Amino acid sequence: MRFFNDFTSEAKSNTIKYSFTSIFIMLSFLITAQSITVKGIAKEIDGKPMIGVEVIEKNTDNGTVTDLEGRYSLKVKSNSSILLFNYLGYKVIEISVGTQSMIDVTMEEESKLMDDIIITGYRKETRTDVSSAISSIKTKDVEKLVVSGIEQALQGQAPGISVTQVTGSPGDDMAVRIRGAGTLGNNNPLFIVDGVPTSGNINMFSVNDIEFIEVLKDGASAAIYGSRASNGVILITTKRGKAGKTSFSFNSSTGVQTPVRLPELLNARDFLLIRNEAITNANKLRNPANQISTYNPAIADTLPDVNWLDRVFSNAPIRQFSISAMSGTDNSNVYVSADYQDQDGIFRGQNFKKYQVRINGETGNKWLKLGNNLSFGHTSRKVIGSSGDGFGPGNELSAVRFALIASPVFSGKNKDGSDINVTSELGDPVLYGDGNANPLVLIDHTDWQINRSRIFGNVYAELNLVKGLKVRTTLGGDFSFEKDKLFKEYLSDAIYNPTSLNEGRVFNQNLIWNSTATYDKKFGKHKISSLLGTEAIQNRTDYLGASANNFRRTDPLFRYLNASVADDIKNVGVSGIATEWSLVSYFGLASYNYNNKYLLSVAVRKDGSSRFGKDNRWGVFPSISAGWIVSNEAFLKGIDFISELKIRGSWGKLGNQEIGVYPYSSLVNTGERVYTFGDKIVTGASILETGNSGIRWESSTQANIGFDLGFWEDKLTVVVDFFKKISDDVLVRVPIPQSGGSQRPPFVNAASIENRGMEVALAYRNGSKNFSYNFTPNFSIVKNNVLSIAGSEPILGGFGLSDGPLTKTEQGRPIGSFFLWDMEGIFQSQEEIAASPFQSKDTRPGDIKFRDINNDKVIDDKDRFHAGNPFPDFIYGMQLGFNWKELDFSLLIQGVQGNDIYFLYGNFAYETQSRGFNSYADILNRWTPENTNTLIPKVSIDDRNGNRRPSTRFLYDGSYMRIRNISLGYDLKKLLRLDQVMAFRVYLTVQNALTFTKYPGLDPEIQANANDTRGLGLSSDLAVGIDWGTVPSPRTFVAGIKVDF
Amino acid sequence: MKSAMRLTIILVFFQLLSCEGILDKEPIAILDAGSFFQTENDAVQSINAAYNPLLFNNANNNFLWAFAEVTGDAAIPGGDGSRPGIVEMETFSYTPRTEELNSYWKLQFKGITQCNLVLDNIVKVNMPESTKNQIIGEALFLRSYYYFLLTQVFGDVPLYLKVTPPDQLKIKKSSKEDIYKQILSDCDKAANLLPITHNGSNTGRATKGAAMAVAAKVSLYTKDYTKVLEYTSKIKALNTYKLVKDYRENFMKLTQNNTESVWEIQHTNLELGVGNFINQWWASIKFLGYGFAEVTPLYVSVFEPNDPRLKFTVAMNNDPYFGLIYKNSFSSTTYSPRKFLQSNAELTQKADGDINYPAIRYAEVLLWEAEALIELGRMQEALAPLETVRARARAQTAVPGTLPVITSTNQATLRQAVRRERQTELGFELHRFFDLVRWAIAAESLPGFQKGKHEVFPIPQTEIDLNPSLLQNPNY
Repeated sequence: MRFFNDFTSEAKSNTIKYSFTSIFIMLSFLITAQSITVKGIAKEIDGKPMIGVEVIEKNTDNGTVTDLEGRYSLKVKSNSSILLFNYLGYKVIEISVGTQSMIDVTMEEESKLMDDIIITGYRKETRTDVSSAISSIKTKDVEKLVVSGIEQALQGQAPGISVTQVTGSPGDDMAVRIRGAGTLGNNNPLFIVDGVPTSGNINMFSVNDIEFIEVLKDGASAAIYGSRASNGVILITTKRGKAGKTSFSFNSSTGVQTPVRLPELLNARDFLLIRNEAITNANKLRNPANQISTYNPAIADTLPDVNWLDRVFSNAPIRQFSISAMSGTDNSNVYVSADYQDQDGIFRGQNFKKYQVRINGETGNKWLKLGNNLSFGHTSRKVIGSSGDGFGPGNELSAVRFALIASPVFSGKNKDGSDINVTSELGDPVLYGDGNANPLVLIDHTDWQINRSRIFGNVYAELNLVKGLKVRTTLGGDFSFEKDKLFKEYLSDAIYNPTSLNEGRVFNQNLIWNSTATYDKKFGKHKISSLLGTEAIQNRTDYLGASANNFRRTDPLFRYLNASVADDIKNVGVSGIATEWSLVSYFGLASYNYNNKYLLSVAVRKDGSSRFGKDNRWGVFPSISAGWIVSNEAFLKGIDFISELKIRGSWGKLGNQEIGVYPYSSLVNTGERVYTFGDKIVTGASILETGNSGIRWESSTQANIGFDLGFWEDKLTVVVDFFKKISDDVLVRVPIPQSGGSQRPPFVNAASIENRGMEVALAYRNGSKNFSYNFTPNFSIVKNNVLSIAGSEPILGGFGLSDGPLTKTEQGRPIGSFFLWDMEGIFQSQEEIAASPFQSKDTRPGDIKFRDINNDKVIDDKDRFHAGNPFPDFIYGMQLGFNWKELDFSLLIQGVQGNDIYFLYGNFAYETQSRGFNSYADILNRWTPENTNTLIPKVSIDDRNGNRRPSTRFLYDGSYMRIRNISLGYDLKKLLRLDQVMAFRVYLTVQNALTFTKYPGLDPEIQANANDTRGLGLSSDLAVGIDWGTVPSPRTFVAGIKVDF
Repeated sequence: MKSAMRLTIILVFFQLLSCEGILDKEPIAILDAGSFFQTENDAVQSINAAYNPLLFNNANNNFLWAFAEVTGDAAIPGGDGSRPGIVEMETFSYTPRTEELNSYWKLQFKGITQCNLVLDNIVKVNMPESTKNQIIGEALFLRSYYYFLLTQVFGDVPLYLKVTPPDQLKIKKSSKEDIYKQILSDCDKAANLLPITHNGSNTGRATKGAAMAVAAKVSLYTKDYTKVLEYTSKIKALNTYKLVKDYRENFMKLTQNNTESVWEIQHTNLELGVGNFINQWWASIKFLGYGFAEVTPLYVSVFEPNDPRLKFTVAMNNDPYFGLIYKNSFSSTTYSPRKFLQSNAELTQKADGDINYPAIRYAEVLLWEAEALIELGRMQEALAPLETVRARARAQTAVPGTLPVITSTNQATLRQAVRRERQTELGFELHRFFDLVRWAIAAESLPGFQKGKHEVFPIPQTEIDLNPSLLQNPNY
């Protein structure tokens, strides 16, 4: 951190010197006579006094705020002075003083689209001045949702933002995509919380603390963040105290989550029936020596009949509790909050707890303010592998997979009541499965906890020396400490053998220092504003790991490294490593507004990143945007129903540096035990990764045209945007032939990708004092298309079950397009097989007939085609709400339409593997000579025809519409005559109330999977929409109470 | 105003001038390949890693045994038949999508790349010439051996003799003949560089004899019998190898790496690190195994009466079986293989055995010699090496008249005799299917074998997709 020390000491002395000089100069100006005193009260429409309303004498620095009773008193210069009444979220009121000495005002809530204050990169602006594409989400849009994280709060709220949860397990990650996937690598947007960037673990922040969320979607708005902005930027601003009365808010809720959409699996009798048929069908083609005998169906009566999903899924509680207080005076304010959340998983053994406290404060005088945003958070998560990925060996942690495939005749218990750990204890793998773990025992034998503690925040100083000039310097930090502890207690010879403990510690420190100077000036009809800034970011992550095998005791008190029987060096392991990266940037912007009619804004950022070789380190990211507020033109003045009309256009260039930390170097892996010589184990060194010192910034350019429309005094607002984003030099690890050995493929600037789309956001708000309602639908389309790939060679992805890739990314297709054989139907007769293209010598009626795409009369690897892609045709969300007296209601619907999902778990759900794995009960509708009108092929424990190959058989329409949230609230304040409180709301909320979909998997809301990359080191966006069978999102019922006083 | 502007300038523009230095970040604790390979230790570490893909350990998924024995006629996939790929081997229904083929392909090329890394870089390392030469010899030998393993299974394969940048990997296959030529020339070079034996902590590294033996084996595959004899006589002239008295010593932990061992893959029990998975793959399910290879009655019937090697190779009813008594019910065929298995008490994990795989034993060298002589029509000379092998076995039984001395000089009879001897002497040592193909009798011996197709296995689909220059083998 040398650079911080160096500079701060140097800058400090300068700052202090100049500040003092300036303060004295300014003070002398202020001591001047004032003549008239104006007093009054600011009220809300319903007559409640409003605290904290800013009252300012126009064109001066003279101002005050209203007190507890809404009262103010202000000395103004003369009768011609004008008073401005301003409160965030309310309309600004202008009143000439004239002869009045008492001026009362009624503040009206802001519904005007244009006058909203929004946070843009490094500054605040009014929406009027903005000509780029930014979506804003406010506290009131999300506070009734009762969501567990910020990402979840974004779901369905604004067009162009897609939020997908990876699994339904508590505390699991969400994938957020803004305007599609622009790169083959990391597509996560940049999150900036109170000016401090963070790339992950957004769920640590409390939703209750949020004041605004702004989503910078287009090139022009995001370009000020340069090299990290190409996936869009999400700015989160937390609440601050407001001048006026101290207020408290208390919120407590409790609820229950219930599993939904669990599939019906075969019961014991049907399982035996299907087993026997699958064995019989396989025996027909097997050598006599290899044939397996069938089971006597009568044994079904003596065998257990277990529904394993019932044993691992159950209702689970969720609790939330939060309290906050805020207070403020003219020059100081403070906001304090505490938040607690406790959530069990619907899948046994999972739990997520979150604690967070926050203190945001500011103090100073008119010229210098010091402030901070500071949060301390802690999460603890008990993890049970919740994705069914990797049915192969090595994925033993995934209990959900064992539950989905567990044989229904496997009871899990011996006659004496003791547990059976693995099915192989019973022998007969054809009936019970091959060494499958008992899911319940596996859960009990897995103790995996991930704890994170995090201090996140900033300290800033803001100087207002000259009117219009504001200098701000911010020192931010994100210090997180992660503790990962995985204890695996011996379960069987193949699973958790021997008992082991792995502990990991990760310490991440991200320091950021930025300074900006903004200058705003109005003269006549001209308004200019400009910003110059610099930023330095330095990140270091330290990793420490230790492991030990064989433990004397396994109870929780002994799950520590010291308790291992570490008598032998081969039973312990340690590792330690660190990574560093840094970014240095200069940026500036200038914008101009002529008479609130014509807008122009230009910005540029220059970034240097340590992730690139010396010659390719610097990147420049310019942008420009312009707007025309047509409704302020004279020729539209007469048309009353149009209250707003603004046409916007923008262009910007952005970069992406999220490509790992040292991608330019070739790395060598050392210290691995590789072989034995003379009975001594030796270590070896092998190439880990070939570097590419020539890689350069990935850049994208984005053009946007938008319209903001308001009708009938903005009762109806419409925001429409059209955009086109082209990403060039996209960095990707292009998979290399496996003949290149075990090296990971290097990054190359290989591809060019286009995302085109349209977004529409509507809002209709109307009503009277007693009844108001709103309807805010949004809708967006993104078309993803790979324009070119270096060398025109496709990039493969989704290496699922060893039978080749599932996706192929190539020119003219979307990223991760599914590349599959095509199921034409089911062979009904030997004659049909003979007359069709050759598939295999063992093809029989009931097998799948694949389409001969290249018409060469043979079904081979040349008969695959682009069968679909995981991108929706469109996504949408809509919120419907009304308030009637004390009652409030809201409904949030969200959906995606037209995406495809590869149902990889179908290999088990609709198949009969040789091992005793269970299937969907739907498999009873399999092809038999009697039941020919079906799409499920005949069952067989062998797969001679390749029925299980990656084909359209397992490709499904993934469209869904989900009622995400229904909530109903009632304010008991009047009923209980609680005059002291501002609100006493009780509410009921249902999350994930209903899902409409034709998709057969457990949850249509699925994202990529890290496992399908098969160690090729490829990004998962090359293989999105592959469903291995995951824990689905629960339906949650929550009841709560919120008191503001 | 002026001072404010100056302050701004200072804050904004000069803030970072001293900070740009932070942009230079070197990888921490990870060796950059550029700075690696400077010292003797780097060279040794690199060659060590080149041995790793030989292992039958947990990570390697090395299914050479399935191709050799299950696709051959000695074993069927038993147990639960739960590894579909192995069932496919038995029935010739494997496809380019069969996982076992892909992992095998990857494994051999991992070894080849590592050898190339050593060969590309060692020249510039400042180290004693003798060690350097030995490491070069090891790398040349190992690369040859990996290529041999590859061509045995896939026929023509792409040939890389240097670490190849990713963008130049997509090359066509080289013919099997060209690869064999390369192997011979590399083995010759390696034989000149490698020591005759290794002691102590180097036991298990490649030797001169191993390099000659691989050359001999390749010559046998190219039917260059004169050359086979050239190499076998060179091996004999090393005066290092002789058959051990007890056949079983070749497969026991404490007597491995004996005088009969020419080229032996080393396994050690260590938490699924460098141990032998065959110990679990082949063990009966009644013995915590997977029972993936069960001995066929056909294989048992090949043995001459009272041949002691039958019991050394195959477990049958009422035999002691690593602490258990073997029962017919232990296998669907009533027989299980014995080699590479050991008792559970010796191990921390079943899947992590420490029995080596003797890839080339001196007994095999003798049988090559016999085979080459027979094919060259030199019957009389062939009798001696054949007898050496049989005599050792004969001495291990008390039953008189067992394994009579072969005296026939009829070529056909002798050919049959040496072929049977390979089956019985080298049973379950992963040669069988490749022998059948080499002798062009696979079609007669194996139901389902299609001539012109099944001589080689299909190139993995994943690889063809990644390298479109590769042509699939015929008829797949």
